[in-house]
Amino acid sequence: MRHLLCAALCCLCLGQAIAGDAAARTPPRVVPLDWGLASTLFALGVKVPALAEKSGYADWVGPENLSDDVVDLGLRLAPDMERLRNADPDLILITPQFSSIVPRIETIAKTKVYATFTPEKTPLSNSIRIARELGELLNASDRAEQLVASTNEALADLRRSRETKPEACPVLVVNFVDERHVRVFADGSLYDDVLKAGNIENAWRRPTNYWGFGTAPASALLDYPDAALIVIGPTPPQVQRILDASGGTQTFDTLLHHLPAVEAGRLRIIPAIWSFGGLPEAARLAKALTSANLPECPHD
Amino acid sequence: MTSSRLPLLRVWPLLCLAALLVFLAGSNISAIGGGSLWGPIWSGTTSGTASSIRMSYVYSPQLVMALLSGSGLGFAGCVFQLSLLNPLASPSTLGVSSGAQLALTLTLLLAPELHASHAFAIALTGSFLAWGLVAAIGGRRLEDPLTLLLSGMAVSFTLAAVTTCLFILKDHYLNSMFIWGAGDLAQNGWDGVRFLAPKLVFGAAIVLAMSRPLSLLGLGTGVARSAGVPVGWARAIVLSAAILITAAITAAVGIIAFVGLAAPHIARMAGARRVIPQLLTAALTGALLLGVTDQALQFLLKSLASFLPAGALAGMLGAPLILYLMRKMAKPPVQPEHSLWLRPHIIRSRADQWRLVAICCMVLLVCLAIALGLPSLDLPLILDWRAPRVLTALLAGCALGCAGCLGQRLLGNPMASPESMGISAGAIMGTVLVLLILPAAGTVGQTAGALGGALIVLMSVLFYGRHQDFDPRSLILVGIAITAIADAAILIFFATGDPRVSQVLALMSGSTYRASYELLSIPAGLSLVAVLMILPALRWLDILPIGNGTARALGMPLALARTVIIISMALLTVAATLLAGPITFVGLAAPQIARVIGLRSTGSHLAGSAALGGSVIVFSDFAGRRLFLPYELPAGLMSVLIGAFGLVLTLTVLRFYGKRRRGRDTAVRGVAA
Repeated sequence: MRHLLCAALCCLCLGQAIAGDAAARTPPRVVPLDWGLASTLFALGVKVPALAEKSGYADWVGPENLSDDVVDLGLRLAPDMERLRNADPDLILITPQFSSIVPRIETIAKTKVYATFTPEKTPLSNSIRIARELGELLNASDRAEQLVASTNEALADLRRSRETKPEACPVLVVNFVDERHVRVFADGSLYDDVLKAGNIENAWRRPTNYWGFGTAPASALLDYPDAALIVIGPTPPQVQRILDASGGTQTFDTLLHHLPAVEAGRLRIIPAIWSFGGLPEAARLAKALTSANLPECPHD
Repeated sequence: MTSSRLPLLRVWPLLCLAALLVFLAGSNISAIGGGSLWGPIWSGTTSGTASSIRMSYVYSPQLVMALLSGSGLGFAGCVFQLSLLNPLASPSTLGVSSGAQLALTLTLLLAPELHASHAFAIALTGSFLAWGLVAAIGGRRLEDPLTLLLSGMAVSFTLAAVTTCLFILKDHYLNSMFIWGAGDLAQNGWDGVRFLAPKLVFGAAIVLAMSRPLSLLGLGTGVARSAGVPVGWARAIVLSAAILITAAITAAVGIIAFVGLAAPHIARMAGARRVIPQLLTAALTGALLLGVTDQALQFLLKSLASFLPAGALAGMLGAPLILYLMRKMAKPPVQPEHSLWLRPHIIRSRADQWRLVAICCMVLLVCLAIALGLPSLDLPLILDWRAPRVLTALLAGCALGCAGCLGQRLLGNPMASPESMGISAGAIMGTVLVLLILPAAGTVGQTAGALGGALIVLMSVLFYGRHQDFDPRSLILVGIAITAIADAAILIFFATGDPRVSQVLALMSGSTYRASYELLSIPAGLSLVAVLMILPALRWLDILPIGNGTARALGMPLALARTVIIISMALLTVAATLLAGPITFVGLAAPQIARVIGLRSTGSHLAGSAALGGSVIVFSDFAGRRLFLPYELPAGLMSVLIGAFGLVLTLTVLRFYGKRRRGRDTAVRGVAA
């Protein structure tokens, strides 16, 4: 048994040594365990050898076409350790949500923690910092600055379009869970930071969780009669039907038709944008909001 | 309805509930904007103000929905209990709810459009398929209430395990199922009520038309048969009607626990004895219970503005009531406890028993070799990554097997298991609480939470049991109540949409994912202490299953013996929970199997249970890693699925046996479930 343990220890040390050598490899193999970090890496032009829940990533986060040689690591919060090891990474990127498995991951490769969502509730500025740090770490500072600049550009566009409308409505940013419940994004969410950067007021005043959203019955939207409603996908089919029909002839008679925002035509629908994402998602939301042409609420 | 014939004393709880409902509804309405708003609802027009829209599209439909679903659940629950002669029969204990849930989850994944348009048909199909499965497993023995309940629970657990697998693998696509599972009554208009009401009326009409056969069924199968009732058909029709009602409710609002179980009991306590009054009183009680829960939630949460689903909350509030009801029921035992033991077909000598233990150990070794991936010799991979997990699974499985064996011998009850004391539930509640308070908590925090939760539960169980001389039954009752509360708390946690659902689900179902050599030491120490504690008590364990009287006559210090056994059982459970989270089923099954194959003496029974428990968990862990590689399913879930397979196998074999020696032993098959 002692021999076995010794052998194990040796192997461990050997593994570390190999990992140490490999850090000099260019370009280094970086495996992000978090989808938001993965999306930032793609935006930086970094090739990612492995990704968790690959098919889910295509559905929820990325327009990126993942090539077939990207290894699927399994569940996001419980990636397959043996596959992760076999992917032979030089660097593993995680968020604090993985802290319970950090000691295990660290034996595979150098591990860095990047927190987009922190108790300070500033995901956008965190994302900018993370993009720059990743750029520096991976010798892609130019690309990182480009990404930051293009995001700032998108945010500036949003702000300018807001300035043309002195009486722009405060907004509610929601995602429909089913026809009776919504997730409302506010203080602490990436969406909300984009709104702040665009100088758009978020109407939601109720407490939110660590990631900046709260679950509420759809009727809670009645409490904000003067707000515009921004629905971010994916929207369940039954809700989609109702929202699509709301412009034309009314064949349904549900609360959703009588939401003040829907009745007054202050509804905007935006395709899915990963709410736990990073800088690329912020830029996409800013562009979508700009082109959605947010409505005005004249005060009379 | 019944109050005119009954003394006021008995119906006072119902009157209180009704008064409370009126008060709460009144104050909620006035908070929205006053009673003047009723006008537009009756006339069918809305004036367009926020408060009138709220009144006519949100508040009123929700109130009506709460009353309708409550009455439906009470009514259907009463039908279940009457026709199956079983006070614990309900859609959840019979697997019907789990069937609906699995069917809806699958369709949401595979065909979201279909899920949106045909929820009722899907829920109904799932419910009936689950019921068919229960009937197939129970076979002819379905008339025996115990067999029915056990087959129902087995189907329910298995289907729920499959659903949980889907939740873990596809959590993002199933957000709406989490809210649905917690049973929120919020409405968007009258569509839900228009959908539900005709189905309820149809189902109720069928049952009421069958009220005479139903009342005869309630007197016992024999009575019904001699009165000329075609028992099988009558039961099938009323049960189908009840399943129709519950499926409609689950499709409309989701799973609402407890109301269907409690309402009929309260109705009977209020003095409703004959079938039709009992059904109607149960419906009324159900409506009041759910109505009051819903209105109280709205009343209290107005200021807090947070989201709490009524269905899960009802489950939480109902736990004490379930405790009370089970206590009342537990007094006249259905049958003497010993007859519940699966009887081994062969009596073996001590030496033979130990030879069997050796065979169990060899099975365990084979499982270990498979799980480690031998004969591949990628040593670093095996030592770094597989060995810690396999060791963790091994230790957890052995500890649970031992704990289950201790529990079953202590209580003289083959259905006893570590989780039935609520310790696992306590551990998991602690973990979830830590995750809620500190979203970035690491291993240390989560472990501390688990240990804290388990200790609190253990303390309360010991405190509660102290007065009853640690009477086994009261221990299990506390465990059931605590588990019910934990389940409800977790449902509410999921409904809030926390992005860590998949992780918490895996933790809760028992996973070795976070295993490492460092984490092995504390649980190993705890298990060692437990084993050292139990060694001097082996003789007590030989005597305890025989009965209290014998034990006392032999001069055994009963309270001391029980305390020692309970504490070591708790230590083993905590150790297993720390290692791999709450793994259910194996603590129940391993000692049973060990006994069936003929391990009767305490020593060999303990050793055999440990070896078999270890084998099951080690193999489950391996299967969970391999089945959807690289997507990993927790060992706990896999052990339930493997167990279900084993159950079907056992029942088939036993049925075959039964054909050859019919009438030999009726209790056997029931318990095998």
